Amino acid sequence: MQFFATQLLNGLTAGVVYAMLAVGYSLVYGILQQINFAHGYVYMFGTFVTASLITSGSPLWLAIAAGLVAGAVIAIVIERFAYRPVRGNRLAPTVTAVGVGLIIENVAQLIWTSRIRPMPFPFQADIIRLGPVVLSPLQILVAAVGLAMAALLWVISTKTDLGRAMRAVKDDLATAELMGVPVDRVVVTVYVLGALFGVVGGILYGAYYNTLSVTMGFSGTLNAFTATVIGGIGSVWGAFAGGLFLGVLQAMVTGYVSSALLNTVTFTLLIAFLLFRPTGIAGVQVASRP
Amino acid sequence: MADCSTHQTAGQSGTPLLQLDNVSVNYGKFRALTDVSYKIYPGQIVALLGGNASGKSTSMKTISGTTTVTAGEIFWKGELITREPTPARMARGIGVVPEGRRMFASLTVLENLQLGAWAGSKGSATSDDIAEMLDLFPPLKNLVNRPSGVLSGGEQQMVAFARALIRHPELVIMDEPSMGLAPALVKRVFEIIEEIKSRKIAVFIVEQNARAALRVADYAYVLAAGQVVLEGTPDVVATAPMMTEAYLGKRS
Repeated sequence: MQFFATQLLNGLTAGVVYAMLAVGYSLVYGILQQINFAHGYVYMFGTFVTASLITSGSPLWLAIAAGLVAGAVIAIVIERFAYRPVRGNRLAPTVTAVGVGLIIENVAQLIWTSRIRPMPFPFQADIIRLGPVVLSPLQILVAAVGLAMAALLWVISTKTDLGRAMRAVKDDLATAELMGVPVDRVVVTVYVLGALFGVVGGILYGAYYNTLSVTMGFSGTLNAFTATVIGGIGSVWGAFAGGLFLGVLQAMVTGYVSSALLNTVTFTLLIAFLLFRPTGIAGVQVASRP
Repeated sequence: MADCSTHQTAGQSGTPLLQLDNVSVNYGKFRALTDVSYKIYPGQIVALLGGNASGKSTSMKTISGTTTVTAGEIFWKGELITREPTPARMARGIGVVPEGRRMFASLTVLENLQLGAWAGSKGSATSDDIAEMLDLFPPLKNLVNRPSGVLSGGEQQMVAFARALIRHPELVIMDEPSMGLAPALVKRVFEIIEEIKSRKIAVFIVEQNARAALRVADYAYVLAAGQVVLEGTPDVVATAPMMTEAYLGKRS
């Protein structure tokens, strides 16, 4: 039971990180029906900026801010030069996304090399004992930040002009433009929001596991994409649910079966959802009468 | 073809609110509009009539800026706006009632109205603006929190009107507002158009229902194969032989 509780906590922690990343996919897919395969690499790059600044002695807040800014700037540049010119084309944005992702990974390798590096963070050595369960303060931080980010997203999406505009563009991009909504600006904002969520997820990941590698862009992409599909691509709440579900499932497989099976389980799940439930757990379709 | 003086006596003099000057639009090799010129004066209802594929919808897209003009110019109050992007054009004071109503289906009626106010002078809708629209369209009062996608066609058409009017535009362009509605609702649509006119808002309306459109219009253009083949006051247009044969049906 104690082992189960520990694995559950580990799984939920990883799940929050997946959820942060998955939100970025869902936001973009929801509006443009594009799978932003560069997203995982943007999150990796931002996280590395933060990690290298922490290592070089910058204050924590500055390192985190710089990582977030780096993620946002890369998202803006990619949107402007790799996505906007081919918006509306079914295939081209997916191809440019993969290409841009590889470029980001190569640049990251040039700057930081491909060796695995630590990411020092406060509380990494501390533990809290709650009866038989051993907890890290960082697990509490991950959960708290995850909840805060979910709340933030809810507020943005339901209470602000931007959120309304995002949902309107999702429903009908052309008509949103006719209503005077600056669609290009809304789309850029969506990419930036996605990147910010991703980098927050990456920093939480680095802080909790204290290990980073530039290849995490690829693995992050795959896990978060799977989480997005499980949750229902296009639904940000589904992305949260899918992230938590995948995190817990992977922790259980690692704990009770073998970590060698992780990818097998993950991809079997991805394929099963794509085949049998492509709308995911939360996939909602709004009926529209003429 | 009726000359411009007819237009001025029917409406106003001075600078038109919106003017299309010898506009042509090509879709690849297909020419959708050829040397089309329209003038809409403040507070005037101008009808655009014509059969299928005559260039009516392309005219609307040209005004809203969602299609690119091949030749010719567009002016708003004398200012050149030919290359201006859609949101900036809308912000000048144009409201749109799109063909097929085009609700933001997952947004509530209230959110649709708030979205409509985006390009308004104030940026977003005040509670006064919302109240004004609900007074103008009382059936929407009980539907404000309903997703607009589940409303009936008539209700959606009212949302589409309110969404265009809430930003207090100087011109509303409407693409087939009566299409697909029951006869009683079609009558209501044209009452609303007259109500809009009484508020000194100009209307540019594309309609299949030529007879109804001519009843409310101050001026009308008739398109065929992408060209203006007839224009003038409703009397002139309604009695032109080509109209009585083609659109209005022969009357004894």
